[in-house]
Amino acid sequence: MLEVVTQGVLVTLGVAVLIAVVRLVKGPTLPDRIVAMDLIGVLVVSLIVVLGGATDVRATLDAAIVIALIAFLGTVAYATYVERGHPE
Amino acid sequence: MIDILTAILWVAGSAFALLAAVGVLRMPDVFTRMQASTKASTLGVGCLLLGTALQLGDFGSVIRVLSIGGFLLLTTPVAAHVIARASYLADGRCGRGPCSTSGGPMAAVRTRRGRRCRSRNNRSGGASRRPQVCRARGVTAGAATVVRA
Repeated sequence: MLEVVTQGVLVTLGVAVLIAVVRLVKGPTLPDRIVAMDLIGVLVVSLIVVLGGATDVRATLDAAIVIALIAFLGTVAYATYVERGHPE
Repeated sequence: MIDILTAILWVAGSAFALLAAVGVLRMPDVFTRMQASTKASTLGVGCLLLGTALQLGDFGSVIRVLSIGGFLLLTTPVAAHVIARASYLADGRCGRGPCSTSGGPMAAVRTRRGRRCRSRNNRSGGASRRPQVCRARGVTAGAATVVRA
């Protein structure tokens, strides 16, 4: 039973990542793209966590921690870049 | 029993994550998009992490899952605040450039563009580095229009 649920959850999260990628490509402004990038980071963390829980591989949780950290730092860096102003 | 609880938590978490993505796609403005993304994705990731902690069960995995959850709960509002602040401030400076917000329910906020722009220039003292950013906005917008045309 859990295998079917796991596949459905992974497909749902993949569709969510694809929708966020649509916003990342379409986004009319740079903060829209930053929001989409932040959401993609969180979704990738949740994908890795679900995959680790489904396959009993404990090491994926460490990778999830690292990816969450890098996504946060990237978001803050992009926001600082927008706030300081940039050449068009 | 644990499998059933895990399945319920995972389905709920993935549904919230999908709702966050749909909100980011469908909302009309940067601030509303950020609202949808932040709240729904935090709840979704919390549900998924609880399900994984139930499924794995041992002490080290639960500690790691709780640390991921605490880290995301701490950093997601900070990231949202930083994006909102950057977008709100850059909106007064860039005119119709790529970092301005366009349309949506926050359009009334942009009427205070000039005042915020002047106060920002006075505060940062960067007039020598970026001279007359506010006054050159019309020229920049005109040049951008020419380039786009």
